[in-house]
Amino acid sequence: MAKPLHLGFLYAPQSGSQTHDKSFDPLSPLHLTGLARDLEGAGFAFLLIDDSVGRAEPARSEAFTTASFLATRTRHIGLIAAANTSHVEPYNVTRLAASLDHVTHGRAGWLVSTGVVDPAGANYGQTAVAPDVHYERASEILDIARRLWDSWEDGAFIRDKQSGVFVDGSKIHPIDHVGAAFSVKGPLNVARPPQGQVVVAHRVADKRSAEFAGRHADIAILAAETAGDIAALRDNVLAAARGARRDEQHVLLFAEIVSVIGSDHAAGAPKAPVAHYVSGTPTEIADQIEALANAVTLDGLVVAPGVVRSSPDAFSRDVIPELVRRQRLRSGDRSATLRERLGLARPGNIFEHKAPEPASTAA
Amino acid sequence: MSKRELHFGLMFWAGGTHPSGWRYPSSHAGAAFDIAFLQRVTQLVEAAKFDFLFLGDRLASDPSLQTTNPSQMSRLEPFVSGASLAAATSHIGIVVTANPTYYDPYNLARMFASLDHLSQGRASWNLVTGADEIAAGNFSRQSHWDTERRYDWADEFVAVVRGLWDSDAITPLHHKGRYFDVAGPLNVKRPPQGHPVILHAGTSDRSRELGARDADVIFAGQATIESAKAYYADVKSRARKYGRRDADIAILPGLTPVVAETTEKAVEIFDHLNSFIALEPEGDGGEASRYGSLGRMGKRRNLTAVSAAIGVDVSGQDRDAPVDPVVLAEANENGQRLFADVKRLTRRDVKGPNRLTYRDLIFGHISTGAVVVGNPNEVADHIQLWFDERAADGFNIFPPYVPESVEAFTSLVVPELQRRGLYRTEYSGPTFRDHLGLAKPAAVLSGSRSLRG
Repeated sequence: MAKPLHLGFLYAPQSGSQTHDKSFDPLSPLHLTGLARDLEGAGFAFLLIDDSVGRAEPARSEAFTTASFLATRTRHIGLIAAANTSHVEPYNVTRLAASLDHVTHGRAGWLVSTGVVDPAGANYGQTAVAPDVHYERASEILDIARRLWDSWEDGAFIRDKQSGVFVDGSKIHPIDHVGAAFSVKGPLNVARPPQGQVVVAHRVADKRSAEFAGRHADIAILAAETAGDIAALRDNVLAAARGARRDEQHVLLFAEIVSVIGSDHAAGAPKAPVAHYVSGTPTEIADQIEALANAVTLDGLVVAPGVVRSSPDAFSRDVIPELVRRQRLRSGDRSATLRERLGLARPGNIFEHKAPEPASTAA
Repeated sequence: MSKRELHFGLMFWAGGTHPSGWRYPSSHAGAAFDIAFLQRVTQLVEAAKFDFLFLGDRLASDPSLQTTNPSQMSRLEPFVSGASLAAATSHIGIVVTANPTYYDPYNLARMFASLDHLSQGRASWNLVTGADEIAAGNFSRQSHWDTERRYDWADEFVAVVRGLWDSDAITPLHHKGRYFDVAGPLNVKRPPQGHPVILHAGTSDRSRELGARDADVIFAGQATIESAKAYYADVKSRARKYGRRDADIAILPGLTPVVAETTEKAVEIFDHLNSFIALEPEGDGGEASRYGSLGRMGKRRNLTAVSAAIGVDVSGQDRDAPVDPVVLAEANENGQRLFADVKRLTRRDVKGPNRLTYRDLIFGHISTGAVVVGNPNEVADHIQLWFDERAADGFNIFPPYVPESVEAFTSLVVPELQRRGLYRTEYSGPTFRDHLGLAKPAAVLSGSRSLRG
């Protein structure tokens, strides 16, 4: 039997593929807290907070601010916030993610998105990025982020009141990055994240995104309609990981599923362009999930409900207990960091025990 | 018109604003990344009805700051800490520092709108244009922009951000300007405050003009009541030409209070704090180059530097010896001011039973900003004097060591100011604008928005 699965939840109301019912206000701190706590209670390993910089309905708060707000209102669930590399400065987004990891005590992730969601470019007029270089830019930003997160070694802070030595300067490193789009001197102005490196997630829908996820992501979220297409994306990601000389075990493979339970159709759930739908009664949905898990080797599922509600989702209430009964889900280790919970090791520091490296160049 | 009342913010350097505050015995040396600790301190000043919590920022790091200013070396990103602090509080305003020079207006407008929704009307933007030259190296810039360029950019940037806060599907922004083309609308609903409160600090002409036009709160750095009064009068008069009333802008200088039940105990704490400062060998008395205008400790920490400042050579003196009265007699105007200031803080003099030492002069020389040392009445008197004389509408409180100095101020000075009827005993409403007595601005519903003023 296939290994038990982790569960993630994709929160993206007004994204074109997800809406919310009248009882849920995406700008209400109470409703957001309720949602995150419900998911935590139901056993989800992480909550993905999607974001959009396009002309979406004015209904969602920015993802890192939202995740930071939820950080101390939750205790165990991973909080993965989206930021679009086509519209951010690498130094800014790197410190947002590092800081989120500190305030969550190691439960932070970054959902890397890239490219223009038309007409987002119109909001960035003179600084808009040419479409053909979005992934090059994303890749360069990830290289910068990883080095900046490591720019303070774990032992850099001494904080000895007696001697007055606050830091060990030999454990703080400039990164001296000079690449195609950016030059970033470093070091970061944030202590190394508790997880060492913040968990990086990426949605995979085609060859280009599979290539990026294989090289950079800890969590690849495979979005396709059929089990066969999901398996193909999975193979692309793993091939890219091998190409980048990464251990395949270090890329966790999640399939994105859109659950449609009972009345969701009536609630006017929008249809995602490409997604693996599961629908019917809770038992039927559990059957469909089992079938998918038997067909494609996966580490987990990202549940993207068509409708977000303020009350516990039917998936949490009815489907999860059924999957637990069938021993298809991992039981969460509730005290761990997100990396520990997902079985990902805390990475070593690239600057430790090494002479300073020459300036990196863009891929 | 309602009665004028004091406003307080907390300048939240978690390790303390004193360069060696983190070494004080009760301080938490790892405070900067301990969100639970930051939340407890925020709750402490919220219980004392402070207007706001001030989260400073810099966009670079440098380990050489460790002996002079470790709180400025590394910290949590302020939107992250601000949102986390909002989650643990209900009334206090949350000021996030953000530098338009290194931000995009659409991103920044979204983040402040988001923080304002999450905090239910408590978000505030401390607009800085960045005196910090090394930040350029982290943002793919060849060099640091000059003041004119930074303020030209910031002026348009603020107009775009305000326009985005006001925008909606029916009236998107369609801004086309010198630096920015932004279609809008913002994809976050109009913030609960309409516009989050805007703070600004600075003394240059461009900065005063930006503050007079756009800021709701001005954070000032004048060390003396005379210079603070002049600054206050200047900014309020500049604001009038933009059609703003005096009550529309709160001018809050920084103030470092060292307070205890008795004067003697307060002076003891002040001396104890200073004893942790690492002094430098004699010889070089020039300005330390690090961090120009940030340079809270830009001056050399030795008697060579003191000698240059006061016009009398004391560089060969034993630092712990009492100062010879002749030095005071021969000191220049600068030196006279330094002696008066050190005497005011330490209650020591060149004569009498309590003698000033040369070491005291070094500490006085490197100190910047307004400092008051004393018992609760003395500190309240200082605050009241500046308030009554219109040198200040309140203060951004610099806690020299954390959390004890915050506890001392809120438990000893705040009740005294409340007894004197100068400071609120309850919040009048839940938003930061409520604390400042500012109405929610009406949205400017035009397709295109030009620079005001």
